[in-house]
Amino acid sequence: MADQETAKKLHTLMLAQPSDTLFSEPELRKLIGVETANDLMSLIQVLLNQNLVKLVKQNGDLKFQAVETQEAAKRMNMNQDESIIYSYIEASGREGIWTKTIKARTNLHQHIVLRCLKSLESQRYIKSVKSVKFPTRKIYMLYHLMPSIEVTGGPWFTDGELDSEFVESLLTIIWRYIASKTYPNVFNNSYDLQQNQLYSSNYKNYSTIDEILEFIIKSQVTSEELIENDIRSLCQVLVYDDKLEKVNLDCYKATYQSIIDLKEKRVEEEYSIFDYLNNSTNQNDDVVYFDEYI
Amino acid sequence: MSLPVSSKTQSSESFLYTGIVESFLGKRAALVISTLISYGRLNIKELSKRSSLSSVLVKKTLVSLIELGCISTWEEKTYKSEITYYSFREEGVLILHYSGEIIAHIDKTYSNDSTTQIVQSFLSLGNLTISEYIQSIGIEDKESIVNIEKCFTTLVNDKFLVPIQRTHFNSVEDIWLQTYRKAYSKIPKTSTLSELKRTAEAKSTARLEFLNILNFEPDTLFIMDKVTTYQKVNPNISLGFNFKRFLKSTRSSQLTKFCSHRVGKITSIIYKYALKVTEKNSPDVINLFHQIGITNEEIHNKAEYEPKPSQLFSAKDVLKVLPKEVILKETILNGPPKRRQSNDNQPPSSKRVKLENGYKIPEVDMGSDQDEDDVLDDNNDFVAIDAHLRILANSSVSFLKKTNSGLYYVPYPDVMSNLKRNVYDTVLSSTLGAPCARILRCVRDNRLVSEKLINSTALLKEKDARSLTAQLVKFNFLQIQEIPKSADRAASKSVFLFRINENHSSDFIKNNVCWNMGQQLEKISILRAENQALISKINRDDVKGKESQYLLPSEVTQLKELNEKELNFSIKIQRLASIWEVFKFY
Repeated sequence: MADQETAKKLHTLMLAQPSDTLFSEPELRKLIGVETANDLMSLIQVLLNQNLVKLVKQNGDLKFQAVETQEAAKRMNMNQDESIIYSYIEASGREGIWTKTIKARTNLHQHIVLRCLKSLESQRYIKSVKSVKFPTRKIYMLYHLMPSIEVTGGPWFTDGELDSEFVESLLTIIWRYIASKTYPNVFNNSYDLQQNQLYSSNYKNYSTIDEILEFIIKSQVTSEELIENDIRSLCQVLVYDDKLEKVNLDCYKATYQSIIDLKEKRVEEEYSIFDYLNNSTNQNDDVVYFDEYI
Repeated sequence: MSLPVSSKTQSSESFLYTGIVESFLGKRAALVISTLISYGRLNIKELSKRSSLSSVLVKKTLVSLIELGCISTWEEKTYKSEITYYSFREEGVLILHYSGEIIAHIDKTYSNDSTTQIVQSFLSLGNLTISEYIQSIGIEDKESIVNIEKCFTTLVNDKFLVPIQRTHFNSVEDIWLQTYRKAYSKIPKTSTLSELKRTAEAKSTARLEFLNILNFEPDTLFIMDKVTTYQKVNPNISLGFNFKRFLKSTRSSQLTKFCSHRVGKITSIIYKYALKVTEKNSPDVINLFHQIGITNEEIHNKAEYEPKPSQLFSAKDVLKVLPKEVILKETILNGPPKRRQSNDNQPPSSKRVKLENGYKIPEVDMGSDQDEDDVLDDNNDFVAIDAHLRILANSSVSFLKKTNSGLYYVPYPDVMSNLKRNVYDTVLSSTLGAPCARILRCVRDNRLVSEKLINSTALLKEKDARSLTAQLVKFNFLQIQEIPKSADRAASKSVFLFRINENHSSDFIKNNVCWNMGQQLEKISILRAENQALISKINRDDVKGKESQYLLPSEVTQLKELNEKELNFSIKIQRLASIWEVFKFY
């Protein structure tokens, strides 16, 4: 009984330390004030029986980690197979683990693995998530964890699918912001492609990633938390669309061609391939570059 | 007599060129051209055998073809006799093809009927001396003769007409080979040079000699007019149309269009005149050395383009040629409206637009009040032109470059490769759509990419990206590279990546467009054949000019339709040609 109480005390002391702290044997002896390793081991055994302590190997040394009482109660309800599977899922963290990997690591039969997973899922201990990288794989992680960016694919993905509407809207917003900075009065109705004004070459008419991000945050167009890298990748897509051009590192300008495409008017009186969007004649009739050669 | 199938199938250029020759000079000439394209250099006997025409007919056909520069000749002496060889000359056919545009260009540039008429005569007759020309039009009035001579002087000064010499009728390959052999034989055989060095030395001396031969200009090209004391062109020297000069003009026009779509219309007008200032002294569009198989590395490094003094210009030079109608006032701003600058730190406008899908697009404060714009003090046109030139020099596409001395020049190799790439991308966007162009640029940017990388960097759905890349591969825009992952190189375990081979892809488009031009020409000739009866009727002397009296109402409708269809095909050919020339010459 005395052991039970001392073990509880040890558990409380361990929990008092920051979570995820790993204790070595001498540290624990010092914490509870026992002299020999044997005495400590009997206390640890008591805690181990109740799943209140986890054994962790770090650099070849055996370390101890306290487990929350609720978590331990969960474990107590599980059978041995479930417990093993649960520990692998727990170890995988926010990345999650593939069912086939669980099977390979635990050496359990597929039926048992599936049964355990079903039982754990029904008790809301674990959940299955869709991975953007491997859409066909069934991946599990702890119920309360948020999947990592690698799994969800970042802000552009909703339920594992690319949210192209969201991406397109953001692309339009960013392009309009940069275009308005690159060309004067460009979104005025009276803007004339034949009499376009330009900023002089010594005026800073480009936009930086920081400015764009600030604009997006200020205008509250999305509830997603975006970071500089997200804006950078959106700008890169716009560069691929020939709507922006990179002036310098993280500095972008809108291309004049994108403004012409927006206005849907021809710039040249003569034929120019660059006016292809705005040629009044039937396009299908004109585009004969590939029709019969192939 | 019909053309062999090989004229259409052996290459797209052969299809186009025989089509052009057929429409201008008839089937027999087309057959001769097709035979020469197929077999290379041939003598009369061989030509007659291969084309199955009698040698008399072949000789008759050759006369007009040689006059129009579609065939070049070469005489080779053997110990027995002298044999004349004939080979296909591309330039002549190109002149035929561009003849309409050449005349339109000359008319637009000089706005002088006599000048246009002169060029027209040169295009239809090949080469002439001034006195022959004056004789042919039968003018005796002195004033008119002086006027015509002036037109000739302008054309020769602007290099649209050049003196013709014997080598003009020879193919450059033959001239090069002869010069090279001469230079090679001059190197003493006893010298201890290695074969590699000997060839290199012969090539470098032959190159100078080769250029001297081709750019030879007789000393007496210009003579002093005793009456007016002005310089005029020697009336006894044969002149010919310089197609290379016309290509420079088309290059300028292509660049101007490119500029108007990358920088702006007003700036492109200034660029147009800037190009005009140095156009006649600009480097040739087609590098002669490339034609004779000397590689870029052997000539000079492409990156080290250095302009000649005659290719430099300043804002003042542009101002001199810029028409007064071009208004440059308020075209350059020093910054956005002042009102906006003061509002920069305040939260953005609360006005928002709601889209159908629920996303809001915030309104960017545009500062519509133009009166408050910080307009550059450009009352002085010179300042405005210089500001536009500086924009061109700082643009992402290097339309211009500035030297240390403050003068500008056009970095042709850079800007032409940029133009080529942009036309290529636009052809892709216009045919396969903008998402395809996004993928292409993504692959170009990352060189060798996997499907997953395309999905993540171009932000496209996996299914969409896959079908689009398949289309791109089908049309040769992208190539697939296999990366084996196992020792036995099993295809099932290999990874397939995408990459771009620009030369290969642009060659593909070039051939494609060229073949389509040939196809349009063929459609025109089929159309004419179908309406042969009507065409021969309207060509009758008694019907000409009195069509409304002699033609039935149904025939008038048929004639209208025929004209409309022909016009449509011609427009298509012209549009295709504007794309083709980018890939063919630049």
